[in-house]
Amino acid sequence: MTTTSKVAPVALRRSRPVLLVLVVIATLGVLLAPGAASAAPGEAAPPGKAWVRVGHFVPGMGATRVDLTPLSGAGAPQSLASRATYGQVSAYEALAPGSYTATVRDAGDPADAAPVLSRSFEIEANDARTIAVLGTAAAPRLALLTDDLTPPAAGTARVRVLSAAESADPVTVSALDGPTIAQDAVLGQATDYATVPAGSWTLQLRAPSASTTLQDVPIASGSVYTVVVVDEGADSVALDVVTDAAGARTAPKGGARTGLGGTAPSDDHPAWLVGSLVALALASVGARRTQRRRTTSVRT
Amino acid sequence: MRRVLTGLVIAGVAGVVAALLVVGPGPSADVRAGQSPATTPAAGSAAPSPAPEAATVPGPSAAAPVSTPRGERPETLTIPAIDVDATVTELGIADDGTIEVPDVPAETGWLDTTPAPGQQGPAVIAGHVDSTTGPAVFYRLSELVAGDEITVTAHDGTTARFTVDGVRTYAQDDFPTEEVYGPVPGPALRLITCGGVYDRSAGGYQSNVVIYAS
Repeated sequence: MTTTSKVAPVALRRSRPVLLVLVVIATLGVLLAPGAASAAPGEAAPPGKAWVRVGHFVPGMGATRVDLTPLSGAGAPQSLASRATYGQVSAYEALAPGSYTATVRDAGDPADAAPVLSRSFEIEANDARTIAVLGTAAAPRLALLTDDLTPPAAGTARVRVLSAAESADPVTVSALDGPTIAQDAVLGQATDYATVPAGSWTLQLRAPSASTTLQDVPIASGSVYTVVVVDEGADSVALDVVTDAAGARTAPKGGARTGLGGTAPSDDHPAWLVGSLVALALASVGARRTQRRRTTSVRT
Repeated sequence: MRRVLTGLVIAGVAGVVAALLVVGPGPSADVRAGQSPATTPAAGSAAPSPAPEAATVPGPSAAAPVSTPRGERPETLTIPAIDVDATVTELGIADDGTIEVPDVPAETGWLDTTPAPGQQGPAVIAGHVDSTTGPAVFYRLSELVAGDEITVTAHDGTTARFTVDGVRTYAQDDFPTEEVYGPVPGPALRLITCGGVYDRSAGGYQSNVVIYAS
């Protein structure tokens, strides 16, 4: 603190050498900055696509066609499913992030027919949505389910239930000898995701009017699933497991040591450059000092 | 008085330079080794619903499937934009928890705990930026830009095509494990190599370059 207050007035009076030193320091700073910046954490979100799929979850509703039109107006409509039938979930399409309108038509209707359902939505990079046709044939509705891509804890997966069975409502789904995945899930709603340890499980469904099991269901560490409950015939139900997203079964720690240095400069900021700048600084200050000495000696 | 002040200025410059040189290269490799994984192992059942099944020890009837059939595993990687046409070997996770790296600088390696390229999820392929003597297979990886094409061919001859979404550089001690290795709804590819500052005293390159493709 005291040093600062003493130096400051001197710096004002003898501005030239101090200025030169400051310039050198600033130059050094600029030269050193790129190296520091490239090593800094990438704070921007990772680049990626927006992911969209279609699910038909309405018992008794016929095959449907689902199209997607960019709201910007520039893009042509894109077909996500030309003939989705009850219980089907399409694969994801990778789209440019942005705003879209989804339209649902009877699969037999012409493309310009008035849609049965439509809905606009916005989606960002690395997000996933299921365009879900839900409810009953008498009152179908279009919902955009958020498919949560949060990585599961190590050794586990995340699993949710989407009930599309009219004959069994509500339903409770659990992993046999394991966690309950959803309790009293009601028709047409996706539950929250539950954590399930990785392994091969028997899934068990219980409802007031029905029960069923699905054996040998592979649940992989690091992945995300939806268990769809569908009507099978008049009074029985079936379980169908779809993978929402897959990740590494085991993720390594930290980064990768993928370089041995054969093309690296001896340092990020070359020694000769730093050295010469320091030399320049010292030389210029030294020259000033010599000049002042001479002046002083003449005076004396 | 003047000499003292001049001396102070000289000392100040030297000090700043010295500080920059010492601090510049960043944290040591020990910090990286101590980085925790994305999450801690399954903390209890974590099932959100009530009514835990008491008495029995919860558990699946069998272990999770862990092996990708050989035919689906990648064999070659082609990136025309940077003249890469390379063999893909297989990598695991080393004893210290980090990703293994290829033995041969001209080859790349697929991490076998990630999905095979073309399957749902992020396939991860790593390659060296350089050997001890010169450029290696991923020397020009950071030149890739959005839209560049990448093709991976599996042992059974099927090909998976990707386009680059973007390039990111991360400090190794702040590597975004969840973004690189976390769940992806469709087929995706991540290529990893080294970059940034090379600091021999701190274990080598201090950053990783990651190519995101889908």
